[in-house]
Amino acid sequence: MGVTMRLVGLAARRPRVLMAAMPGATECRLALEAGLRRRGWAAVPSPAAADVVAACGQVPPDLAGPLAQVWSEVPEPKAYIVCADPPSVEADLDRVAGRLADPAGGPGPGWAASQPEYACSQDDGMGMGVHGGSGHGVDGDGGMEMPAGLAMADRGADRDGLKLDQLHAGLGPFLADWPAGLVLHLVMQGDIVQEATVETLGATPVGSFWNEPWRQAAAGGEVTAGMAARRLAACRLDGLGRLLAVAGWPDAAGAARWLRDELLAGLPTTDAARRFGRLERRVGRSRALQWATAGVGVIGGPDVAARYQGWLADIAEAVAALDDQTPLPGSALVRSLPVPAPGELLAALERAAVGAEIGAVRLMVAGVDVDLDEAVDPAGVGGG
Amino acid sequence: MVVETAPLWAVLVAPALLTALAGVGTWADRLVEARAAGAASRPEAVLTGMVSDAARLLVAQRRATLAPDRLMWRLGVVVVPVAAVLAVVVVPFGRWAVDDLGVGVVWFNAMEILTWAALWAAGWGPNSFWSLIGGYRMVVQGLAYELPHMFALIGVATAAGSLQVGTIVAHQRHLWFAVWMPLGFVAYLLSVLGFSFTKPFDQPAGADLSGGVLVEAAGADRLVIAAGRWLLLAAGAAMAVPLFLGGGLGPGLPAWAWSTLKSLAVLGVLVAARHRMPTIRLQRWVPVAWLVLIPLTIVQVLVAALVVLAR
Repeated sequence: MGVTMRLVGLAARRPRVLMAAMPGATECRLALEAGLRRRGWAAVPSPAAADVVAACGQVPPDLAGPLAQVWSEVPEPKAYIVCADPPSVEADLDRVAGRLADPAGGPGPGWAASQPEYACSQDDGMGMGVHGGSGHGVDGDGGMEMPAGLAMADRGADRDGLKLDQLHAGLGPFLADWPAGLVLHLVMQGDIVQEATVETLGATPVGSFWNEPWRQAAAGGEVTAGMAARRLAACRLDGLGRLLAVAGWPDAAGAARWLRDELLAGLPTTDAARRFGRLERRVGRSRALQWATAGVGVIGGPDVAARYQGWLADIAEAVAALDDQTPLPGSALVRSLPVPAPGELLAALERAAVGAEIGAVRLMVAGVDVDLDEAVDPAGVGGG
Repeated sequence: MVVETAPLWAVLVAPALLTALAGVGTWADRLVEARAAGAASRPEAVLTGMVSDAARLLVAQRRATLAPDRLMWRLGVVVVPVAAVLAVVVVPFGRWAVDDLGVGVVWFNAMEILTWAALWAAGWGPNSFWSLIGGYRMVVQGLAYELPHMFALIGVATAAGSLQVGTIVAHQRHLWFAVWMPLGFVAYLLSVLGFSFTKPFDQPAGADLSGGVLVEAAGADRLVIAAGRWLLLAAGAAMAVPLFLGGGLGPGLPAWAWSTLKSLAVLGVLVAARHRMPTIRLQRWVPVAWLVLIPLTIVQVLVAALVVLAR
């Protein structure tokens, strides 16, 4: 036990965190990401890779089930925290590290010798572990006993006129680099999406964190154009970071998120311009990124490549305006808000996902950068 | 002789050297990423992170999914590092190789192909949709890198008139093969990134699948497959030295020092490539591999054959 406990102690020095982003809690997510960066803790994309589950924000009732599912898939020793208050994130992280390292309390029930392997149930909250079962449409299996009691897959016509097995899977709600509260229900054949339906969970349309300066100005608050520019630049950097992470470029994603957090913390204009220049050269001129994202995107709209180039242009403009002291007009044009209401975007996503490869769907979602905290237009989504 | 078969105890030394090389690569890789993201990036802090990760994976539970193909899963996971270690049997360190087989190039190629099958099995085993897609992505990726890889090796073997790594090194006494077979060298390096499913060719374990073949791997399984990935990259980097960069040949320094320096340099180039660009999507890469890379490497083999005829 001595060696094991020493290993547990070593492991607790750099926990790996699965972030479960809750709707309406962008600030919590940002605070947690910044906290992880300061400590050199990594955020990981799957429960199997994690030892800490961190809920960013209060957990709404309809997300509690999926969260419990994700928690059940994290191997012991593990710990769970809710970061619902941005200023206390540091204390939360200290506490979780202590809990992981604490040899007296033990890492948790069911750990180690008693249960060297852990099982998970059939459907999980990330939508990432559909181990047959509940996911499949049930086919008449003729009374034959199927392995592990799983039902056989339904079949459907594919794009080449063949009949192929269908799998009912889902993306979200707790997927790394994924909009909080979004679930994309998919019918898949191989890695190709046949049908896609959007569902939004835990939505409390409190208004997007990124639109705050404009809302305040509209409510008669004193907001300068510079403050709004700062928020806009950070918003686009957030979207860029998510896209770069999904595109498999963690260096650039990390750089974008770092600059985002520094901007929100009040980075001076000259530093911001210098650092953004470096990022823009790296990302904006990357042919590989262009190659990976060109032609991927919402039908009729700009492709993902055009979208991130647009974001870079937005950031450049905003960084130049960081010191603008003129007050933001209260009527500041709703159409120029950083984050639009997601209704139309979600409906377009449903259409565009059909026939796309799963990786392309991830890029598409990152490319439209929806924020469910803005009120969802009920007419736009899920109707059909 | 430029390369000799080492005494039997080298069987223990070779895996240790390979692990050390892989460790240096991992450390450099994490350092670069931490610097870029503004994370805690003192060299010793990065080392602590590596130790901590290994410790966690050693104590964490392994995972049992519903109705897994346990045999395929475990086999797939274990074969990745085993293939890497077996591959370096023929890679000379200075003057010494564990065994300088007469068919050394074929041996290396065979071990590397094992990983192709292993990763598919590791994706198939857990009975998880996302890991299965990752496994099949590896199959597609293999179709894209295997042929250029083989043609690059054939070019080298043709130029040296031998499949023995020692003979290949001896033929580079005056001029490295990398100098007059640059296409083969580049194709070889690309295929090393491919068979070790390393960025930018990491779609089998891609971020868009939340880790693909790795998505269900927890605890020791994860440690074995993640370490195996780096061992493969290190083995590929080490093999590039005798194949293209004259092995331990060089002025002044002893042969083992040249081998070390050249291996570190190749590994440095590969690690740098990891950070320069995002993941290359197979949908985009496969046409390029088949329409551009394969014809180019065939031309390279023809050039090598003509040079040998003219000699």
